[in-house]
Amino acid sequence: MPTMDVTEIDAAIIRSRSGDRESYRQVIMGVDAAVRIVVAAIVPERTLVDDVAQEVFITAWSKLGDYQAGSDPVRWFKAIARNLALNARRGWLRQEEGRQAYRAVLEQALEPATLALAEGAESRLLDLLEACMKALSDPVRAIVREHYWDGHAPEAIAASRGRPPGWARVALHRVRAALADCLAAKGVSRG
Amino acid sequence: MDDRAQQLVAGHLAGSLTSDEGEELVHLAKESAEVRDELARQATLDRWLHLHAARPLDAEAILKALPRGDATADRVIQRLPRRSRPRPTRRPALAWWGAAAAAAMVFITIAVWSLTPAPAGVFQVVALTGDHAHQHAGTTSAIRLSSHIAAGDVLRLTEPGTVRLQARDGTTLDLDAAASITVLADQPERLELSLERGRAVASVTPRSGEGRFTIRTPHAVVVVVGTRFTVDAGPNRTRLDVAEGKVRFTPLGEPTREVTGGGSAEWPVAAAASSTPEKSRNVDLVPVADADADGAVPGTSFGREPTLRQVAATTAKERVSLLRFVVPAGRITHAELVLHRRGGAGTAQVRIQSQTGGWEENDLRYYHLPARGRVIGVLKDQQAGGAWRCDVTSAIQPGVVEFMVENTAATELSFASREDTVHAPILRLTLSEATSP
Repeated sequence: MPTMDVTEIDAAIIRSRSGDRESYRQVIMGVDAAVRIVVAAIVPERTLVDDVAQEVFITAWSKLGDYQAGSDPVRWFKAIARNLALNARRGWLRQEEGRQAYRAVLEQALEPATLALAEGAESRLLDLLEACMKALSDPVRAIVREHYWDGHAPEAIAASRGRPPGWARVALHRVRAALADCLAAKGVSRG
Repeated sequence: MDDRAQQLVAGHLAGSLTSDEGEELVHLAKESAEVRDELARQATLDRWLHLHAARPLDAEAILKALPRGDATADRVIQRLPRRSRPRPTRRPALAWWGAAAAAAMVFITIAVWSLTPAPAGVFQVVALTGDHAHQHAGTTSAIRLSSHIAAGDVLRLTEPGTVRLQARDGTTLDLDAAASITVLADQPERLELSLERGRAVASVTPRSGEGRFTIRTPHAVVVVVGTRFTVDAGPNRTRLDVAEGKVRFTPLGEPTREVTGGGSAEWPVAAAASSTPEKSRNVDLVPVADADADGAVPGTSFGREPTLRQVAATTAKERVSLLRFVVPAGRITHAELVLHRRGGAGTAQVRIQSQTGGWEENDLRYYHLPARGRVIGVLKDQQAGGAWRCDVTSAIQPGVVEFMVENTAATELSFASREDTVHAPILRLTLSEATSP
């Protein structure tokens, strides 16, 4: 993943103000992870993350004149991301309420804790998560990779190991808890 | 959280809960903050893990989806104060100016466009004729239309070409007469240029608050307060004529004076110069930029630190300091670099940098440390009070001068940086004044 420091992003934003799309490409690459971390913490469906993140960059493009040069560009983008993710979250809740699904009620109950996690989400979170992943044992890391990287369902992962269907669900639950503890130990808010 | 709750949370994230199990989980979540927190934590981590496995956003698709027609630029322009730009005036060359190659003329016309505060920013090349050099981050290329000129950049023009720069706040700068400029700062609170030679015609948007637009010439510092005026600077003196408002004019080594509408100022004063035989005076220059670069943390910038620090020479990863000064024209008979020690002992060697302008104070990092120049002396503790000195006379010439300071001792050494307003580094020049205008 390309890395840019905030001064480089700040300079690229300034260049983008004059309509320089190539510079804006650099901005997107520079703050992509930070934006999606915030969005992913707020929206209830992961399939919404990229759509909202793209909306963040399109909205920010029209607001570049409001950006104060020399300030924190990542923080500025994260503020836009938070607002748009909240809008997307509320839109999703309205749709789910119409379906009388339990998930809407559940997400409303979770909102304070979810927003607290979003506030504590650091831009380097994915790097920290990678470090926590490396601390897992090989068999456990293999389960994580098969589910999140290769897209295998928990039931398929369990079947490939001759385990009952619920085994991988519980294993993933425990891994997530362990990774969350690891992130908390590295300073990421527990919410 | 009990086993049943954990099973429900795991099933929820796997999308395998029945409607009844879902209602059960809702009930548990409403009853227990622990369940709510754990579920939020698990759900968020689930999405972060998916994100970790995902590809970066498709920037190309986003760029295609952006509004066409430079809508952003239009909005920015609309935010600028509405005003008409008066044509800048130029003064004819004066006969008393010396050799043309060394001549520097500055014509600055300041127009009060609006009292509306506007942000400062980097310059962009909006018009040019001829071929000229643009030095950026240590590399030199041709100046191109639409190029952005950032702090630390150097522009060197060749005659008979011209270059027009425009800053984000509307400030324009027309360069010609083989001008050479260095952008020293481009922050909202400080827009600062060094004009080492040639001619610059500037129309400067008034600065808001403490924001100032400053041009350093070989003889004086001109600070825009918000008015219209003209400055002519030759090799031996600078003259200021104020049309309206007031301007701060600071001859090097002299106190600041304000010149109001209809008034003028000149330095050195012609009459005094002509009636006085050879006379020396000291001028203390403070750096226009200084910063450290640390090999142990090569991606970190230390430009705002109040201390310049060099780790012991025996340390595996070195840390060096860079200092930039703008030296005026004139007959310099002696020059010494003076740093005030904060800690440590021993000695440090001083290099004169052959390539200048390739770094910014707030963005100097070890991994793009400029090439080292030649060693010109050693900083030594030569008097009580912690002032360390190094004779740099042999390396001084008018224009931008940069030094690199390296520790040569086995102990750490530190000096006050320019952020320490009391003990800032000094380049002390002894100037021999001309005896005739």
